[in-house]
Order: sequence, then structure tokens, then C-alpha cells
Amino acid sequence: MNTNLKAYKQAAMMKTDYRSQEANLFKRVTFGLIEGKANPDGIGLVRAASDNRLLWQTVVNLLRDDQNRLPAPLRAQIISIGQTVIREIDENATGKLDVDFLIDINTQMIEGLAAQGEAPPMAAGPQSERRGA
Amino acid sequence: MANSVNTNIGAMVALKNLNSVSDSLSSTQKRISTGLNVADAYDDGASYAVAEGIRSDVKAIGAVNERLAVGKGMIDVAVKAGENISKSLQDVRVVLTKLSDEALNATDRANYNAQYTTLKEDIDNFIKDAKYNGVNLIDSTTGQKIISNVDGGNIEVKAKDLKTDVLDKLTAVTNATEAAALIADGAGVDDAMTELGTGMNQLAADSRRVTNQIGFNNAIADATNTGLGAIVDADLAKESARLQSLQVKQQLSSQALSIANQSPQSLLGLFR
Repeated sequence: MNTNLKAYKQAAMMKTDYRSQEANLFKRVTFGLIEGKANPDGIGLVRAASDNRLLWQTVVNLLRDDQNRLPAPLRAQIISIGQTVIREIDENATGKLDVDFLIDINTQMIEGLAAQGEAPPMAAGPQSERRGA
Repeated sequence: MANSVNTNIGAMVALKNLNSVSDSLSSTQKRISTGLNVADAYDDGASYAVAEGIRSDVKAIGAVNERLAVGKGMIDVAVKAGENISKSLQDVRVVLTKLSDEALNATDRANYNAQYTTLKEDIDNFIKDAKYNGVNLIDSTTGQKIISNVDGGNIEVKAKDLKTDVLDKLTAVTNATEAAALIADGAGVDDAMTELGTGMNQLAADSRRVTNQIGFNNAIADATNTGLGAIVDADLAKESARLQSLQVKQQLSSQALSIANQSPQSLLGLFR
């Protein structure tokens, strides 16, 4: 996995926006799942699923933080999905893993993150507060 | 305040009210912009300190769960390797049974012997390949201590040396008698299967402990956390998750924020 990761880190350094870096991280992990799917009895699939679990566990942790600025309903929805993904891996990592399910979910995340959102709200936050003049 | 309202009592009262409205408005804004009831120490010093404490607790629990997820990966990879080794051991038994036949001609004996060697090489490779995150739980007896709670407690995942306990039991066979000895009750293959079973049972038990601990930590994090508990669907079915992921895609697309907006490195530094 190390050569892949080096490639990722290089790509990560070239791009400064976090969304596309996060999309890239999902892509790497998803690629591992697609590769692993070709050999369902192999250890590669278990490793890829474990990487996917670690990724989603971290995503869930980040979204659970009340300081996260994504809208709460969206955070809750991603956490719910993340828990379903983690449960699928916990229960079936060494058995009948639904790899297509994991790949589908990750693909939606990749496409969502890869889309260009609205311009970053530069002036948002505390500066916009105006106390009684 | 540039406006002169000093002489107008009514205007003064109105202004005072206006200021207080705008104060509460800005504190509402703070709540909305941070998603927290208490955004900073100006709102309520004591509550802020508590909120900060909770926030760091939840973060610490998250960090512990990430370590546990890595530990779970190590165990799952080892268990999968064990299953593959188990299949190979069954094939080994079949081949050894053929080899134990005194009447086998020399060519067939050579062929079966080659198969036996290949199966042993497979088992060796399964053992060597069972690594996750640089750790192999079946190639030595060096276990792993995985941090399990925010107080520094840990779960010790036991390792088993399957090279010594399984592979080395499959000694070379030069004739039918040696092959027969290896498949006798309680000897060679039988012994290897028992040892493998012991190792797998231990891994399964450790796996359950890790899963339970993650679940327990999640429950604590959800209970301590103010915001999301009520709107997270803990039992989302796979089909609903698929549908919801489409909505998530739409909503993420319209966002400029990243998932880890508060601490990008925690996600991006994941697979160093």
C-alpha cells in the first residue's frame, strides 16, 4: 500500500483544497475495494475493507464534533451511513462482505466531494457579528 | 454612540431594548455558527469550560476508536488468513492420505509430494501475508496492546505463531509410513488443526472485545455529545443507506466545506 500512499501524498501536496484531497482519499480506499473484489477469498479484500472501516470511523468522529461546520442534518445523515458501513464490515469482513454496497456509498461521497461547492464563505464567522453600533 | 438621545427617555429605553435584542441575537448567531449551545467563554464561563471538557472527551474517544478500528483490521486480516490456512490443511490431509498408500507408484508419489510441498508453501505465504498496518498476529507470539479507553486502559490482542504451531508440524515425507504417521489421530495434521483452532478462537474472542469496546465508546460519545444523538439513525438499513448516500452526494455538492473542516490533517494524515 505504501507506493499508493506516496502517490496520494504527492497528489495531496499539489492540491490545496481539502475537499478534493478528501475525495482522493475516498478514491484510494475505494480502489482497494475494487481490486479486492476481484479475489473475494484473498487477504487484500479484508485489508481494503479494514482501511475503509478506519476511514469511515474517522469521518464519523469528525462529524460528531459539534464544532464541525457542515449542517447538522447532513452530519447526522453521513454518520448514520457511516455506522451502516462500519457495521457491514464488522459483521462480514472475513465472510460474505457486500463489497458493492461499500463501493456504491464511497462513490457517492467521492462525487459529492469532487463537485465544486459554492465559493468558500470568507467573511463568515465572528467577523460578521455587529453588536449594537 | 454618536446619536444624541440623552434627552429623550423613550428613545433611551428603546435603544436599551434594541441593544439587548442585538446582544441576544449575536449570541444566537454564535450558537448557530458553531453548532454549540455555548460558543465561547463570554456566553457563560462555567458552561463553556464544561462544554470544552466534553468536546475534548469526545475527541479523545474518537481517537481511541480509530486505534481500535486499526486493531480490528489486524484481527480480521489474521482471521481471514487462518480460514485460508484451514482450507489448505484439509487439502494437506487428502494428499497425505494418498501418500500413505504403500502401493503408490514412484511417479504418482513424486506428484503428490510436489502437491504437498506447494500446499506448505501456500500456508507459509498465508502466514507471511497476514499483515495489517505493519502488524502480523500469526507469525510470532508478540501480541498487541490496543488503547481501549480515554483513561489509557487497553485490550491485549494475543498473537499466535502459526509457523511453529502449524506449518512446522508438517514435516517432509519420504515414504508411506511417514505420511501415515502425519495423519494419525493427535499427530501432525490433527495437531496443526487443533493449534489453528485455538488461535482462531482467541482471535475471535479478541475481535468481539474490540467491537464491544468500540460500541461502548460510541455510546459514551453519543451520550456526552449535545447535538446529534437524536437525529442519527443508529439502525439504518443498507438499502436506506444507499438512498441516503444519494442525498448526501447532492448536499455535499452544494457545500464548499470539507468533511474535516476543523482539523483537516486528522483525515488526510490517516494512512501515513
